[in-house]
Amino acid sequence: MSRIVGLGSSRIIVPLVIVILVLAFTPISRVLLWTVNGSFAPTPYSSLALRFPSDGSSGVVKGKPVIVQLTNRTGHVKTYHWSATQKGALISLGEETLDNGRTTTIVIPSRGAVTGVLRIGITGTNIFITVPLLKS
Amino acid sequence: MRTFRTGAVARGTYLLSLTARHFRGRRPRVSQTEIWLAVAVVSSVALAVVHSPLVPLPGVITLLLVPGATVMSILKTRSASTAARVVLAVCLSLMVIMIVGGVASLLGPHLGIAHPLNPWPESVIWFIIAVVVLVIGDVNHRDPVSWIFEGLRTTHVVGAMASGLLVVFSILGAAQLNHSGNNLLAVFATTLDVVVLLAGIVGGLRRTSQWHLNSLLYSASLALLVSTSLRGAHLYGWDVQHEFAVASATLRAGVWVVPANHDAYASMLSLTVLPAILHSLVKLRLLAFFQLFVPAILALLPLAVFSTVRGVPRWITSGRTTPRPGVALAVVVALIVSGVAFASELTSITRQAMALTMMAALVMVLFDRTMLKRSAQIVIGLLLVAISFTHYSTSYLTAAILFFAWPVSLMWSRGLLGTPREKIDRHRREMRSRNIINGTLVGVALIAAFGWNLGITRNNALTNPISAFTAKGLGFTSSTLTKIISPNQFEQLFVRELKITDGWIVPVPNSSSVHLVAAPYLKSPGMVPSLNAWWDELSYLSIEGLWVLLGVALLYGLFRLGRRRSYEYSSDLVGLAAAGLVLGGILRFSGTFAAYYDPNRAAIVTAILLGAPLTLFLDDIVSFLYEVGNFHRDRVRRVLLGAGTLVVAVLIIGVTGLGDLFFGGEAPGSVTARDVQAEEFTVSTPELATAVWLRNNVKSPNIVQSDFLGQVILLSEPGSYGLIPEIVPPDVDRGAYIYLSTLNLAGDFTQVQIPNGPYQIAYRSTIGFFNRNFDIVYSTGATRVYH
Repeated sequence: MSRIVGLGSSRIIVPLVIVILVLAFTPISRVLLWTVNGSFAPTPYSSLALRFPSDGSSGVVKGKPVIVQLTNRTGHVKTYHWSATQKGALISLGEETLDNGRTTTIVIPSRGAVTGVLRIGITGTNIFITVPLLKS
Repeated sequence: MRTFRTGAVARGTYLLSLTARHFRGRRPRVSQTEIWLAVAVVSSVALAVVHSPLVPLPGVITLLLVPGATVMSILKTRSASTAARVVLAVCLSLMVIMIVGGVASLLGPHLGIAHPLNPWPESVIWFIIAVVVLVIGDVNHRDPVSWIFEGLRTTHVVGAMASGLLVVFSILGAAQLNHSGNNLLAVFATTLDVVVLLAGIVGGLRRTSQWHLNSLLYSASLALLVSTSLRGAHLYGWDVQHEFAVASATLRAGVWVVPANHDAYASMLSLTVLPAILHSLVKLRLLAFFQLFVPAILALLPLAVFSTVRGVPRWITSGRTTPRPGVALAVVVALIVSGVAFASELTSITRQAMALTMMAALVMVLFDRTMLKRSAQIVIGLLLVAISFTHYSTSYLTAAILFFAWPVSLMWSRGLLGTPREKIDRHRREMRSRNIINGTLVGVALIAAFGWNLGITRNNALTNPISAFTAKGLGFTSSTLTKIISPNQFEQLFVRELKITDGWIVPVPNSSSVHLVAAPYLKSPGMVPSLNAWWDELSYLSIEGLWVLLGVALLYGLFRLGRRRSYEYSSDLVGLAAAGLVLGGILRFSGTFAAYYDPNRAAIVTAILLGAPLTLFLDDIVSFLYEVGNFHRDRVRRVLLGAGTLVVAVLIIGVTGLGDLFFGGEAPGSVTARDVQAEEFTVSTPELATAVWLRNNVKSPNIVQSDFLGQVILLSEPGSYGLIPEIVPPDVDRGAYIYLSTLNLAGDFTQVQIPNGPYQIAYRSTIGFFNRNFDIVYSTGATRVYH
């Protein structure tokens, strides 16, 4: 009776090793990346933008709301605290909770503001935008 | 009707007989290709079920091998070497995929299929092709998979898997560098690649060496390439961003059309049809196409050259044994792997990466004595056609090389280039029977290059180089280097330039009062900075010495081997080597052409053509050292072989950036996260997000301004807006959107280059100017858009 020896056994072992490596790629790669503190995942970030970018040059009439968009790409649910200030004086503030990958529109009232630049930022970060407020 | 029915019956009978033949005897006769296809389908499904990121792998490997193997089996041609067969199969497969996609795109809309590159049409097309492949294999009695893998041993597979560890280390090194900025593993992986290649050279110096140099060379090359291509959160480099945009547009359209704007990139099937089919058919993501697929193809380039120079060339009838594998490997490592273009440029110029691999395969077929002359000529013709729609410049260059090589080859074969009168008859007789390059191939090369690029797609690839050539000539006296000048000098030049080129810009009042302050280019300090000048000198001498060696090798071949012993040299080799040296020289020293075709990339072309003469020359020297009988022979041999290996070591240590890390300098992004190159070419997720926001929110006729390097990511996500790649305050339009990258904001570093001018400066970002005069309309913290 023939036996599987030498070259024959390696013919089975090699494909078997390949199959195991391919099928177990995900856990193996995770362990390896964790071991070396490496990652190919996107860098987490949040962003703030004027809903209508042309407002940056044309400005918004004071008293009218400023519409901005907040995006969460941090990889997890996050609660954002935003504030609108003018020369350090608080005009408006609020809070938004966003799932990862979602964008929300925030309507910021500018009542109480004067003509000049309104700064809208996310508290605790250097993410902010500015918009000129014009005379009504 | 009768004819149709008869045909159908005949086909049915044929299919029945096919089945009957399969099941004749005790057990069914299943071909290797059938097994391969079945395993590919089953494993793809299994990987999809477990949500593995490797889902595209079986499909990609199948598409890369089986179509080309089928072409080779139809032509009844193959090399004796498995590595050469694989290289050729891959190149021919690329050709088949591009032709299938191109034809589908041109015919599909006329047949009611508006998006022929979408998954369903492609699945149907490739199912039909798979059936045709199986039928052809059965009819010809040549199974495609067996045709290329015959003779492959388990030890080869084990060797390849072991060498694959080099790639694993490189990938992990890039992941660590991307995530934490720590370059420890990246440096280790690169050092390992260098050590393994040098060990291969030493280990292969004996003709009887059993080292698995093919696997080793491929894996080390691929490891070096992915250490660059995987850097950053998006694509690394310049051209590749535009290539991504073109591929992305084709993918969205689901069809390739001849670009109406004559864009050269969009005219290439390699950047449009190829990634679209791979995405539709096997779910290969576009990013993976550029970061992994193309490096995997490009790593075949050194393998193709190694296969070329390792064997006894086709024309040699007697008097020569196979070159030492170590010498052949040394030539490939020195000329190709240590080429600046190969290690750090070609991964970001993917169209050229694929085309140069095809060109290397073409030369491999030309020199391969185990492939019959007529079949070789057909394969070369096919590769010439494939190159034409893979990369325009390589296509023109290949046509020019053959056009130049052919008359030189003719003159040589007729004995007009110095053959002694008494030997001329024999010389002519021997040359005539062995040359491959002929008028037909030159014609095919010219028709393919000009037909596709100027006839069919009418792309604009030649427009600028021809205008520059008409205006300036070859410009051998003009400098090809970009000069770095002081901000003061720049401001004076800039005011003059501004009036000519950007007179329409409406600047912010008093913007000319903002003066630029020079910013230092980020460099690695090095562990032994005192030896930096010495290292630079040594690297320079090694690179220049290599060029001298190529010239000497050619002269040795012409006058020592070829003139008197025609059986040791060939007219094709003379023609190609001379063409390579002349064209390489023109592209290297012409200031005009250097602006359009990087001399480093031209050096790779020269290396592909001159690898064989150099190997013949060096192998003769090594043989002489082994055979010479004198008192000091062992010592002399060791010293000379050690010196040769040292030169290769200097070249590869220099190009991988290990030299910069050790002696100080601007190390490439593959081994550092801090130096200027890494800062310039790596793209972060917030930068990509900003580019996408600009594309979606800023429309024509608005303009976007960024600094010279900031535009890199904007090329990847182009919008309808106009782009001005500089933000020097007097040249910033009041109505523009201004993009500031992470390097501008956090690095306080901005770069500007005068358009089409040789001047470049780096200065501290003028953030205060933008804060005073513009509002911020978009912000990620790491990036900003002002308006």
